[in-house]
Amino acid sequence: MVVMDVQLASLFCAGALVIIGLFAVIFIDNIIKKIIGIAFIEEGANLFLIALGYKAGGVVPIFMPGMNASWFAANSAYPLPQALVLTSIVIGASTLAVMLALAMVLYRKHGSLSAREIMGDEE
Amino acid sequence: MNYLIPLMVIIPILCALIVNVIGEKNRTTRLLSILVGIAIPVIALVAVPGVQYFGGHNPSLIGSMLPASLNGTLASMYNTGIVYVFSDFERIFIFIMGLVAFLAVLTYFTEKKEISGPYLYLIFMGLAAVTALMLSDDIFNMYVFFEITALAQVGIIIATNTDDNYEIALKYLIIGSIGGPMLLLGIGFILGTIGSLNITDIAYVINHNLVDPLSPGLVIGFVLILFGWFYVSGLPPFHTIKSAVYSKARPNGAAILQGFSVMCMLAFGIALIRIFHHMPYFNQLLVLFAIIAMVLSVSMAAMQWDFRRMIAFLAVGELGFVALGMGIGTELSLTAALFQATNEILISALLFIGFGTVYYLTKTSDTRKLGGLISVNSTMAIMVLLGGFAMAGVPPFNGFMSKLMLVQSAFDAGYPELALIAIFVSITIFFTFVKAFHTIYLQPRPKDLKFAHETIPKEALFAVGVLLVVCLILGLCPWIVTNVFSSFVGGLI
Amino acid sequence: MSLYDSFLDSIKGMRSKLKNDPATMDNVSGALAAEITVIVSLLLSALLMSHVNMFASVFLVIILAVLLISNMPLAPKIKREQDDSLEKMSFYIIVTLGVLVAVIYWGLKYV
Repeated sequence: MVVMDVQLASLFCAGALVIIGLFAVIFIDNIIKKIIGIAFIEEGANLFLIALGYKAGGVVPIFMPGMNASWFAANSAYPLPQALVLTSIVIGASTLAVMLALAMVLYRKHGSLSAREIMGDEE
Repeated sequence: MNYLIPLMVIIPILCALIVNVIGEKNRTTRLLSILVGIAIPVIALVAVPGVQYFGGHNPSLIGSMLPASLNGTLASMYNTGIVYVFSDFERIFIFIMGLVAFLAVLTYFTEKKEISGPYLYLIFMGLAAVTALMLSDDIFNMYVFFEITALAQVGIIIATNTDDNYEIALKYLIIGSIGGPMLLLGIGFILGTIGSLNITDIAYVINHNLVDPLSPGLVIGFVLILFGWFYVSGLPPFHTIKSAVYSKARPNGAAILQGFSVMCMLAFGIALIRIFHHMPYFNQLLVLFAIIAMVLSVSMAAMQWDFRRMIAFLAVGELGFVALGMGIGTELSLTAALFQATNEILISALLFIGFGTVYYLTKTSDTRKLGGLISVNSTMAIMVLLGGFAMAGVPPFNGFMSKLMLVQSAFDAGYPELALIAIFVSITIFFTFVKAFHTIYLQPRPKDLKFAHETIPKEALFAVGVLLVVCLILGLCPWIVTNVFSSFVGGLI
Repeated sequence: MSLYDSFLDSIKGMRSKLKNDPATMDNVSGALAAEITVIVSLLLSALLMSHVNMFASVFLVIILAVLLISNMPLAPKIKREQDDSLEKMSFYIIVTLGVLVAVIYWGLKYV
């Protein structure tokens, strides 16, 4: 049995998410599907960041009393990406909320969710 | 501890939250907004240069507390928290942005009887975000504040009542969702290669060859951050959406939006130069995109009927000059680029607010339907004309000084062709502006032109006047800022 | 009478033809300015190549001259390519991203 490296698998998955998302944003006409594609891109970026901080067999990066500092430094996972991803998820969620709200408004205005109809060549 | 540095970010955020809640109470909201609008430039002027370590993470202090096995390693030198650096360079830009925000808020109050708390919230949130962008030395922190700025920009367009503003807002968000995550991915690649997000640390590691400067992670990170930078600053291929965004905002909103874009462009541009200036063909790439930006935006501006779209394209094109200065990469050209960026914030705010009064008077922005507006208020017309001269680079205004420096630096660097392109583009800007000015103000007034308002509000006159005076001062005494810039650039390259 | 009608029709036909002709857009001075700016800066950018290689620059200028003359009303084409439709914008954005990544990532391996 081939045991794949978890980190490598996550990185591949992140790349796949970004590419699927880009594909959706560009080629799919429906606005809601475009927005789902955007969520894919964001999640791909987040997964990429979180995979960077992965350490096989690492411990949670919280320094508890009684821990040996050198052992902790050598064995804890890298905490920075986790903090970043938390922030990035919040940003992604707020962007998504604004986009979905706009999609609602535009659906009421145009009666359609087709990007070509709503945001096509108007001039 | 210098408390004024974090306060420059905290005060606008606090003000944003408060005006959002008490938006209904007109008097209090107005008073608070104007107070904060004055407070930011004043704090920027009086604050003492310094460094703010958030969470007390001063690396020189906590270095001694680390386990012995880490002593002397790179990790013990890294800044572990977010660091804000405030120097005279940041002082100038925060002062000018604060001034523009103050004037924009002031003109907003005259435009509408009923003021909206959420709109002011967006303005102040954006102001806080760009201030933090300018101060921050942490590239992820910059990304976060940039995303806040982008959301504030979208909000500012949503809050207007122009046609198609929702469509443009959604387009900006969709396109931003390609640009933003690419920036984040680029930051991720740098983090993965170097292990730090602090720009000083990253530059130290790269400059001391502690990692391979051309390692694949760094190269991909460079590409993605460069692409993100184009999105941040509205260089091609993002110039169409940026100009559409500006043209859909209220005049005061557009003035602020362009200020935000310039600040974001500078913050990320300086980060790019500090981290990646060693990349082969770095300067050539920037110059290439700068030329495309100048030529495409200015030629598009020349073909517009809608004067708001025209100024928007001109504003985006002016950013091409900033990118050109960054691309040439000599000390003089970088100084010129920073000076040009300063002027760009001021002049485009002037033009957006000044031409905004035309829209205020007539509720149309189609130049074919306009004419003869000089009879309404000749002072405003003349001030707008002078502002346009400043943008096109007519002496004695600041735009002339910065463009002269830029052209001179291109000659000094041995690229007279770049100087010629810059001059030609300036000529087209001049032509475009004079043509628009003539059709709006000088040609006979069409009979069917209807007025929504009879007079121009005094506050708009005041705002444009203040901006014009600042432009003139910077044009006559450019050394006020250029000395600071050249010493800053000296530390940069 | 019928002669007059056919004359009127032909005038109308000519006018509608002129309307579609990109060379006679109503904002003539603006289009001309844009056209000249684009041509001048393209040629000057081609001259920039002379810092790398003189022959490449001369070659580029000749190619550009042929291309420019054969595509002459450039301004309307430029304007058409930069309208506000989401498709065109995202197309150019993706092309730029792809070209940047490909050129820089694979290009720098041979520096």
